[in-house]
Amino acid sequence: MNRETSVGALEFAAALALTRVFSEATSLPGEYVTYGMQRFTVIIVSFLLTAVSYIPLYFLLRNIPSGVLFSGKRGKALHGFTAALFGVLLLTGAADTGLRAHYYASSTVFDSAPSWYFYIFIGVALTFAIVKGIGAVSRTSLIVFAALVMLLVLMTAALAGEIKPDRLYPALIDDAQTFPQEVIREFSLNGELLIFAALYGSVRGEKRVIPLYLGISCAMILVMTLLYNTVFGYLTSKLDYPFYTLSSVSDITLLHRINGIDVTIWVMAAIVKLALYTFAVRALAQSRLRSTAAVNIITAGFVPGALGLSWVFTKRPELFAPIKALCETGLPLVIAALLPLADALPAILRKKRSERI
Amino acid sequence: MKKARIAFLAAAVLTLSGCVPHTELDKLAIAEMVGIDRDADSCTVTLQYFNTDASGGVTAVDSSLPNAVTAKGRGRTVEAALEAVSYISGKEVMLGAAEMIVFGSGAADSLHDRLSFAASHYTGNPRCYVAFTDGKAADILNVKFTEGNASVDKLEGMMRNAEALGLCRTLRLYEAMEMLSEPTESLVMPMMTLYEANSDYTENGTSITFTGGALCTGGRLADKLTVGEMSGVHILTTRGGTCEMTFAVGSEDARVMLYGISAKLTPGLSEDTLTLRFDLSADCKYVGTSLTDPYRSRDKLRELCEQEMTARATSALSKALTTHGADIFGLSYKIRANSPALWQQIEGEYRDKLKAADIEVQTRVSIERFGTVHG
Repeated sequence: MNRETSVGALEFAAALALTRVFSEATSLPGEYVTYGMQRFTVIIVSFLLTAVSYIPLYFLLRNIPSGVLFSGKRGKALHGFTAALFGVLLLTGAADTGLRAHYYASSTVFDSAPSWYFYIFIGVALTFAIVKGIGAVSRTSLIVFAALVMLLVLMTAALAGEIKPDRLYPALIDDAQTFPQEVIREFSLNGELLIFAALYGSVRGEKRVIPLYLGISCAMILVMTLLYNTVFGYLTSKLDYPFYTLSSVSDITLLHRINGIDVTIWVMAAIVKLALYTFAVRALAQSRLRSTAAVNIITAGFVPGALGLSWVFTKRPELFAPIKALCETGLPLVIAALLPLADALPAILRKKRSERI
Repeated sequence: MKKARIAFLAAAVLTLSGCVPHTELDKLAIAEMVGIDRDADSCTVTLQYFNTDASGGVTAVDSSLPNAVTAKGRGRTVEAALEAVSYISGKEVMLGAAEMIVFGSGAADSLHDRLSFAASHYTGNPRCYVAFTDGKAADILNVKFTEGNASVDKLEGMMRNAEALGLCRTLRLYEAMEMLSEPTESLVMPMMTLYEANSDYTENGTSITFTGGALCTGGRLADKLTVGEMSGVHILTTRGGTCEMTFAVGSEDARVMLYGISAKLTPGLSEDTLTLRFDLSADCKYVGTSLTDPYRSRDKLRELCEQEMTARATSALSKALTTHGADIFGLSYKIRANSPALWQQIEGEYRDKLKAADIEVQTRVSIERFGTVHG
């Protein structure tokens, strides 16, 4: 990856935080946010788990130069397999993103438009984003992220009179039986690990990205949860999109209801996330293939592939159900965290051994 | 090449926007107020909506081209009745600007289902007010104030004034849905009543006043609250709100405003009986008085205020908790925040515990402002 085309750590961290919060605000059918203090503990523990899952990547960052993931020359078959598996995980993550964006948009302001229109609209915007490159996408995501922060501040100010602190109570875990399952489900939303693993070579000061992104996104999700709990109380558990409802309740004299801004932000976030997945696939292809044409074909094919898969899952949710169930175990993320390390470890060990000799 | 690519993408986005199914503004019935009545087997929805076709009226109340018109529809459910309204009016109903939903006396059961038409729809306005009438909701919408049909703005203003005077507690849609999600599924809606009015105010001789509240619990209309009891609900649930009261001090009158009202709950469990101790506090100022010396009368007045606040709060607690076991005050949150262990003990039989609860109300009022003119 060319350093001249790389992006700053803050921009990239903002992009990852934006996409992480997107996953939180645009739940899939059956994924519900619940009322209670346990939710705060779930978020904090899941982010700690996520931080732990980045350790293998940190180890890699220390030992191999940027941008050479899955590019070992020996054992081509093994490297090819790990790269392909990683590619499948990226495709699943992108399909999940498309699906979330579609369910969210069609449940809110986009309720009467046909699904194909939504995917074409996203596809066109996504193509434009990919043409502009990772630098432009990261800069855009920084702007969208700033808009999200402003929206959150605006909503908090508008809802100041509605916030009832006595809806919080001193407890860490309400139900010990559901707690581990909720933590793992929350952990499984961190698909940004895949993006970072493939794209860290494009980032300046890549070691700063993880703490920045984890800290920012965890803080934002905690603030959102605080607002859900203190404004909606028991109703939180019955809301499909609590953030959308929160923005609908926020009454600002000039703007009246600000849920339109909310929808704009999440659609933009979906485009950013899909673009990042596409860049990740391109980086993966570049690490394995010498032919530029082949890389371009794979990159170009990824967009319709991911959106097409989302569209199929929209029409046939039963096909997505087992994939979703598997993703919610957190296993794909664990594999994603270990795969680059497993791929590069023999080379690193060989290098260390030769240095010693 | 780059410019052509961008032009192509821009053209695609712009031209595709025409493919989205949409409704033009003049084909929309922009709901301002929804009235829901129910008889044995059907639901009647009366919709007051903004008449976009009449936007050329000479004034906002031009009776030849009314800007607010009403339409009625019947159906098995509220949703079906709304579809009938849409069919009859020839317009698509848009709920995003609806400011009030009024339930008639027969329609206040199964409120969770009845409200879902607005609460679960993306265009529904979660901030719209929810109210009840002891008659028919359609009659409320048919009141013709001299400044137009039962303008929702006027009703909203009346409701806010009633709340500022401490006569009722307003309820918004999202608050109603939240209260229906609490353990006893209870809420109280402000109640409106029609009365014969001076023809200066209304065209058809009827107007609207607030006469207390409607208590719904366990999916049905359980009881009605008097104005005093509704005032008690307001006192117990407001955060820094206000309430006006008039007292006779000897042969003189004094009207005072209580402000900064707050209620602190201390729950406990004594021999398996839930004990609820409420400490109410407020500041007080004179609104108007004929007292010769308001300063000297302050202790007497403070005592009267404390007695009245205690009486109103106690009557509301007695009606809601002791009679119906209905938590319309959000006590479950406060009990849990105060003592999660206590909440765990009573959670399973919360309604029964509330019915048998030992309730104590203590009130403290301070008077610091005495106005600028006396006697």
